[in-house]
Amino acid sequence: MTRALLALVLVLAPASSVAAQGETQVLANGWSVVSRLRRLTDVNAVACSEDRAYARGWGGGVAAWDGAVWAELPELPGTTRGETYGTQLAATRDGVVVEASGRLAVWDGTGWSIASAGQTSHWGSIGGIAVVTGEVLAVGRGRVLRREGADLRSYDAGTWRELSAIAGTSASDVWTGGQGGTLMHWDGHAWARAASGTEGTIGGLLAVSASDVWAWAGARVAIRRAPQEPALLLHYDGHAWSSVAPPSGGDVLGVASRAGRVWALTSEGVYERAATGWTSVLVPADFGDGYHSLLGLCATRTHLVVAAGLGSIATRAL
Amino acid sequence: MRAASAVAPLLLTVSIVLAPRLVRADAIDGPPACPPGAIGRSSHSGQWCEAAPCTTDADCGEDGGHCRPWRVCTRRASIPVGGLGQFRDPPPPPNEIDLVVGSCEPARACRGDEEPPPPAPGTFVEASPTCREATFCVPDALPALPLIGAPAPSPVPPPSSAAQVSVEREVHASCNCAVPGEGSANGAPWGGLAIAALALALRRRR
Repeated sequence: MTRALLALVLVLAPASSVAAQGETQVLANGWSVVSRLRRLTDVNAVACSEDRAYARGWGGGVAAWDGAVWAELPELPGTTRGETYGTQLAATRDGVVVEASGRLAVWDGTGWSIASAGQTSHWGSIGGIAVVTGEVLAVGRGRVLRREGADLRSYDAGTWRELSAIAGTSASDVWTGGQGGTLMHWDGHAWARAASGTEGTIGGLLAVSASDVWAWAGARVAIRRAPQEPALLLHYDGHAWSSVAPPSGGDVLGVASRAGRVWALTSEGVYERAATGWTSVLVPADFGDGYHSLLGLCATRTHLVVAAGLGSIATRAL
Repeated sequence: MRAASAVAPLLLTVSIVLAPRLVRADAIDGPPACPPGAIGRSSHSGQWCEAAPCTTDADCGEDGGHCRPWRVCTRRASIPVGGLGQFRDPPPPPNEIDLVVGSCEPARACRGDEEPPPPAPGTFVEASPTCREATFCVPDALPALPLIGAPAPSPVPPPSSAAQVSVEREVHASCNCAVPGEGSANGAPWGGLAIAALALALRRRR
């Protein structure tokens, strides 16, 4: 009987589970923290799909979370370890797309493919990535980039500005944001400029629905902002953009939303929006060592996921 | 020896305090994004946009677009000297430069204050922009974004369809939209034939 059970376990194990990597620690407040992933010594961003999450490091390492365990994806093709830079990534239905030194690398669940624009120096780097109705879109200087097989083609963005963020919910509802408070909306036929009420740079966008869109400064923009500039957090209700009081900690580095709940990330922690303001749900001190800095935030249907610095990724059930 | 050991901590403190400032002073960002008709500049003083006047396309370089009539609006700004120059005693006087704050096709007659200006170091010394129409280097327009979710347009159209593609581009340019295949002249006859075949089949059954 025991032998039969052992044989059953051996047969089922490889097919039903992914080998967990890294070391997992459970914090007192319910957060689970994985660290010591081999190629993610510097986790700087996370992205979520309905059921999965992805994290990336400066050097190009990417890890996937299937709702239970983290596992590193294979090395990006055609790159030398430590030479693939970027902070941008977005989850697709089956995988993830990441910025890789001015190109896009797409993981479809089985392997990587690369989309490249060829000569890139004249338009700068990739500012943001989004997956809209299965299409991989990105933004750069005064342009929207669309993945077309192995090519990354440039299209008019309705502005010459440096664009840093893109998000959308359908073929007729795509937003881009960037320098000078620029917010552009694509209705399926043309770009239209929206009044943002700010001249600050928009570095992050989250489109929950056509009448629920968030814009914020983002980690990359926050590093470069002058200290006297006010923190930036905007919400679009389907009619107009309006300013929302951000949680403490200055610039908003990320926003996540699920089932009507909203969370925001600042350098001081993760906060959930409540009727009376923002409630803290994670602060760097929770890690107990004083070294963790929080850089990215996303939410699957069931979990919040935070890029927690020092090669750590934190998750907690919603 | 004793004096040297007393000065060492002081030197160390001074170098620690000044180091970030010196490092920052030596950092130069790349040229910024600029309105059409302008070219991005950057130095130790910061990033800004200057007018890019021209007389022929050759003046615009390989990626600089074409020389064409354009309306460019500028505002004079006082830009302090950056980098190590700022530490001179007495400090050098600031530079006054005409910064491009906006531009448009001449027919639109923009004023230059419709949108926030591009990155601008220093402070503006003119209250309002000054606009002029001349020939400037203007980047070529990018194609309109195709319908999201539709198949990607073929990079090299087959020779037989080249005429069709050029007609579509003309139509899309006029409406500032891109809808590959929309209202295709090929679609209507096939749809009509399909309806006719269906009607014929139903009639035969009766």
